[in-house]
Amino acid sequence: MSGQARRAWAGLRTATGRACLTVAAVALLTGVAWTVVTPLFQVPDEATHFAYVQYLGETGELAGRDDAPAFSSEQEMALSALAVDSIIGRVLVRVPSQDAGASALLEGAGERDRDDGGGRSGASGQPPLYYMAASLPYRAAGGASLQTRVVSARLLSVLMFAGTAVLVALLAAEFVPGRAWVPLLAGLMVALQPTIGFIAGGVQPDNLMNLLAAALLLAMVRGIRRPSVRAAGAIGLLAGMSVVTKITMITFLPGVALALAFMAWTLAREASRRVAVRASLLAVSALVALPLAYVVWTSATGRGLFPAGTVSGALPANEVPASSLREFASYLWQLYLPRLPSQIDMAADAGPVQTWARGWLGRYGWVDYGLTGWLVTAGLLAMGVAALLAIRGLWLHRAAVLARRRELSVLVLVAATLCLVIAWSGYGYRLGTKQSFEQARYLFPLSGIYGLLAVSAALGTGRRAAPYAAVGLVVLASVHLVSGLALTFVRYYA
Amino acid sequence: MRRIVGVLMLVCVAFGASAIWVWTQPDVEFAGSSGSRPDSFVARLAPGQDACAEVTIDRGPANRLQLTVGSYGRRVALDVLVDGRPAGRVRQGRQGQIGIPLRRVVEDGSSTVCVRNRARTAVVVAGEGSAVPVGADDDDRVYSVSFVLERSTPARWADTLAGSISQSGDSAGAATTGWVAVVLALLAIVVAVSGMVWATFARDPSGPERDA
Repeated sequence: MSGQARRAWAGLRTATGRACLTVAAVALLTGVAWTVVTPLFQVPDEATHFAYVQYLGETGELAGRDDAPAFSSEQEMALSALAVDSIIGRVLVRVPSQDAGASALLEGAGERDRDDGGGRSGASGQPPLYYMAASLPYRAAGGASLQTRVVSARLLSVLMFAGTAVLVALLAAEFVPGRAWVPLLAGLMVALQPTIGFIAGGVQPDNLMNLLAAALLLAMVRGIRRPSVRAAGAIGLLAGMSVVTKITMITFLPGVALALAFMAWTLAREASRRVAVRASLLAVSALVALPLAYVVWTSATGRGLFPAGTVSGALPANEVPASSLREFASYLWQLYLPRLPSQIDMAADAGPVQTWARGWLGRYGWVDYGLTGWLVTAGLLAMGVAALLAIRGLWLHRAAVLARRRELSVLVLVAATLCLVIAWSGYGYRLGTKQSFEQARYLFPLSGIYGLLAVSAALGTGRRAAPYAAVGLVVLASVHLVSGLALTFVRYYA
Repeated sequence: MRRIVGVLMLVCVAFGASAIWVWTQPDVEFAGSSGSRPDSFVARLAPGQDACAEVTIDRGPANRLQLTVGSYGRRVALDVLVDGRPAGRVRQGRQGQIGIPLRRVVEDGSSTVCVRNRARTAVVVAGEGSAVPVGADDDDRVYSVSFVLERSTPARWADTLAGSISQSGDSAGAATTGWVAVVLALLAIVVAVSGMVWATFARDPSGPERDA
């Protein structure tokens, strides 16, 4: 056994290692459960993401052609057989049963062409790293039915989900070392979270984005504490990978820059300026390498960088109202904070509770079903209590919080930039379509912070009660998971 | 410490009781709809104004209307009219997806269902078509509002859930039966809770782990 393998084995035998194994096992179980429960193509945008994976897997080329439809003939027929479009948004329409002729249609789809898609869609407007990764299990299941190929790609998402949960556990252990329950709580809160699990059960680039986001947060926190040239390179590489996974991850770059600045500062003081410069140069080179390779590739093939499809429901250009910074500021406020009496209501249906709290609590499918009635009130109440406890936890441990201000300032900057860009995109989308854009899943790249807040909430109950509160939170998260799965069964199969 | 354990046990019992209560509630069944989904808010109703749609009921009688309403944060007050006659009312409702009990049963066939805004301020109703322009009342737009008609049934939610899980394996495109997912989820919960309890008590059998 090599030295590295020995160290890894020894690491797994520590309390944190065991916590990571438990978290990984739970995330894999819940992820596979979501894969089984969720009907094909009912995860948001799964049809277009799978179409990209299929085109890449069949032809080796990136999707986004002007002269082809988004879906292959095979997938088009499968979508029709599964009545995907009829189910989306119609909460009382169920998945057709096998004996309704759908299975025969699905089998017929297998005889159609698989490689005649590849046209523009919402997916082709995104960078390709996830699609390249998902095309591997797709190709591995190449001879199987379309369902099996979708499930193969979905299982890769489940692995990414498990990785995300483990990284969140490690992040918590970085902040609160020496307590066995801390990494376990943080990781389990992600592994059991049903809205994250729902997305993890589908073919969705968000899963790789969430994995890389969690890895990036961990790498930045570790790098600030223990700066080195290698750590800077890892941060740059992860940032570059995340940018070629989903454009959203550009929002992490200000946080990455701040983390690298802290690291360079420490290296210059504790080692030498030369080491600091080397670390910074390596980080920047690693960061730009993959995005640059993507730009070169697309230039060489004549394909646009982000050849997106048309936005459904878009207003004609001459009917789109002009944007204003003042109006955007009001929109930004109302999206995350309660509306002030002096503000004009920017939307009848959005707001912090409606969009984020209820979304986090459980909105599934194409945001067309979720908890209702008093269960929402109970859930929101529980979230409110947890939020207050998290604030109390930060206050009780303010000395430790202040000692980690550099790492925390990076986390805050990342969260603030992401929230700002979501609001800006949502504002533009609303002007252009009059429809709401924001969904709770857009905050999933911050699942590391969610795990930390759960730990803070447990610590907010006091030193002696904290482990008990952690058990209570895991019980609550389990109930939350059951509610999501039960709603999904009833939504699609009742 | 006993008090804390007691509170935690109470919480678990409360959640268990709530789950049992929820799962024994009557379920609702789909009876018919206007054929549109609540994609966006398409109709803006000034006080006293109606939004109507033709609904087709082809799965037995209906006694509930479901629709999605936005009220700019204010209370929702609506009247429901079926073929011009009053059929239901919501006095102080919340915005979002709401279910309105109907005073009279609507039978199979086509009916015109309208909702009338009884509040002093405007409400918006969801459906398909071009969305409501901000601050304008023009109605040259083509849209259809989304109404879903349901029927209360004697079936319990738990029965519906069990039926759904069994049914999932027979649905088109299903990889396996839904009971596999149930087993996996229960296993995940057992691993999670036992792992958490173990991590809390392992180091010191007399109580939770102390600060490092």
